[in-house]
Amino acid sequence: MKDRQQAAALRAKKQRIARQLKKTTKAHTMYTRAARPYLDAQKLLQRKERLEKLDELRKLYAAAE
Amino acid sequence: MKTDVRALWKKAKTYWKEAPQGRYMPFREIAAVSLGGMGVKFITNTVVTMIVSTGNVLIGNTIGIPPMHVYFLYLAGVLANIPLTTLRARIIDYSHLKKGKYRPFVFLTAIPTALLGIGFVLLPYDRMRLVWKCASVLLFNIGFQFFYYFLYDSNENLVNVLSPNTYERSDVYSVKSIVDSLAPSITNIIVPLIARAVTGENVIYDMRVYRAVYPPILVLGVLLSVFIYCGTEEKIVQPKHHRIRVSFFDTLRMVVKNKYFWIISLASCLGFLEASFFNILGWMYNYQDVCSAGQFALITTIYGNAALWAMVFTPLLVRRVGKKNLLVWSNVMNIFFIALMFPVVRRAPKVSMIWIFLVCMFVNHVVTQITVTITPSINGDIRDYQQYISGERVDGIFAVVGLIGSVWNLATGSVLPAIYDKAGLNAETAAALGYDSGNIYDVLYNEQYFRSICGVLIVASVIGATLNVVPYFFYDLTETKQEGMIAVLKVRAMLEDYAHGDLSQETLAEGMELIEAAEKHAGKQSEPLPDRRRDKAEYKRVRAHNRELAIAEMVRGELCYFDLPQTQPLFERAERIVQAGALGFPAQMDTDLQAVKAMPKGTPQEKEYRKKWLEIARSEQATRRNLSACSTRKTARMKRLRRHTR
Repeated sequence: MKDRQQAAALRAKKQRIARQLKKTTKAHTMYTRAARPYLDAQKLLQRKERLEKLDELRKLYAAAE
Repeated sequence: MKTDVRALWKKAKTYWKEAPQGRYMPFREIAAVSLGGMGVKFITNTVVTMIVSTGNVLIGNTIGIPPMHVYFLYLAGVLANIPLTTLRARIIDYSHLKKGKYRPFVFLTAIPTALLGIGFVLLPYDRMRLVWKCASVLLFNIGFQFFYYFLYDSNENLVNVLSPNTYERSDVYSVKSIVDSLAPSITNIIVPLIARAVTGENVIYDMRVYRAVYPPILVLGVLLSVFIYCGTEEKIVQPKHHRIRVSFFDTLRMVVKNKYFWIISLASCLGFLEASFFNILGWMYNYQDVCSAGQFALITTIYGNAALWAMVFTPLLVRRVGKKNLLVWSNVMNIFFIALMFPVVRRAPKVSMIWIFLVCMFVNHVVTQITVTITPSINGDIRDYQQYISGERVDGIFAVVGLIGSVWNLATGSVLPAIYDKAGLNAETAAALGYDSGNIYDVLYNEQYFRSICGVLIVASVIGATLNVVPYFFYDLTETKQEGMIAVLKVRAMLEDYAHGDLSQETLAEGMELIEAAEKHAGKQSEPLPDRRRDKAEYKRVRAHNRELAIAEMVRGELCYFDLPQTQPLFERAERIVQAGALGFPAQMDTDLQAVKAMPKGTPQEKEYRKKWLEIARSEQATRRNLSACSTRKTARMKRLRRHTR
């Protein structure tokens, strides 16, 4: 009896989480679509930041050699 | 000869566990892919006979489902395949399994495919009513649509993720094709022998034969497919912690912009008429009695052997002329050899007709098989290009966009029967000629009609082959460009791994070597190619030098991207937008689509620059649309809420 109740509670919890997940995924998709120019701009700046670290990598490579 | 064999043996021993310099796959891995591929071929070649198609012999003749019912089952199968392909694509691109993208699925889908296949042949169809027969065939086919195609796609695309080297891919595809083509050959030898033992006659289409032959073949296939799971390792060039962060529909949009994907897809779509002449060889034997049964068996064996030569020589030809030239030339030769068949069917005497036709068919089959052998390797290059332009590695999604091809096939499926009809292969002609058995193919017994119909089919094939070759002229993804893209992807992976604090020594060494090579070649000019016949060594040196320069230029382009004057406005705009923040950025969106459209597009650089700004302007437009739709929805929700409160 107790096992059955536990199973039902777990099933309900699973459904709740699945609903929440679906909602969050939808919200995330909506955000990425609406904020596309912002996210793309962020990506471009990130790319520049990464390229600026090339000198650090050169030093690291020289040290490893 | 003895020295050659010894050298080969030594090479095999040296590179059994370690890949050669510049390669990614040790010989052990190539052996595992080939043997495992043979296992997969055992399964797929067996199961494909159970998949509903309009001319399926097992379902139509053996199980006894009438043609019209088979057609409806076929339609249901095609429709079921659409959502199932989408599901498969999602699983491949979004599961992020540690074992890889395709490798685990080869084994995981081989088991259910084999189990479904065994279940299919063991059902007692002779004791079932037609409706139950149809229902069981349909249910099994829905299972096949998912598992069989998953297995097939995983096996076909596996090499693309095992090595980023395009030449190595061509070589491995060639070895793999030769080894795994043994599977259908073995099955074709075994089936008639077992059929004779089981039925006591020369009957193949008997359920008892399928029950005796298929289950052991399927089990053997599963056992061999373990080689792929245990003996391979995927080597996609991408940062360690990179996860695809683009929604499924956005990846679809990304793939739609891949021009090379469309070129290849368009070529196969436009060439639907090309195969019109395929039946002629069988018709010659069946309706014109041009040779004996033994001679015909020899003819089909010789014809089948053509594929082997294509598999053997394709890697050498790829090195010599490149994939693009090979695609164009093999297709142009294809047109030529199909056209040569026309005078053969129209004028050649009956005694020699089939032999001359065989020569044309053989050479034609060699050149078409070259295209078939390099297509998987080209698909690999197209996926690399996709990763290069979008930053995301997607593989499965290509199958979803490729569904357009199956819709096109459904639409164009009626063209060939229409050509048959127009050429005289119809009931009226049969009746006029005095054939009243109801079989329109009886028309082919009449030599005059046979020659005229075959002529029409060859003309249709020439038209199909000519349409098929046109898109290949626009395919300009050379091997050097692919190598340059992989070099850029390696540099990007190194920078991203470093940013995440998880840079390995190998990634660092590989990336820095590429950067050093790029800097070493800065300012150098490519040399004109000398005549190959005069000085082979010099020709090779110049070719290698030019290749290195082209790769170095692509890497430098990546490193100096932000130093270019045309990148500055892009960078400044990005800074403004990011400074405004996620909530304030719409106020900074001021790109005018009309002004962007008016930008110059004379040079490739101008074209590239204009394309970037067009993307920006369109994404800003879409955001404005999304935001206004959101506010409209919000207002409507508020109105509903107010009404409800009142």
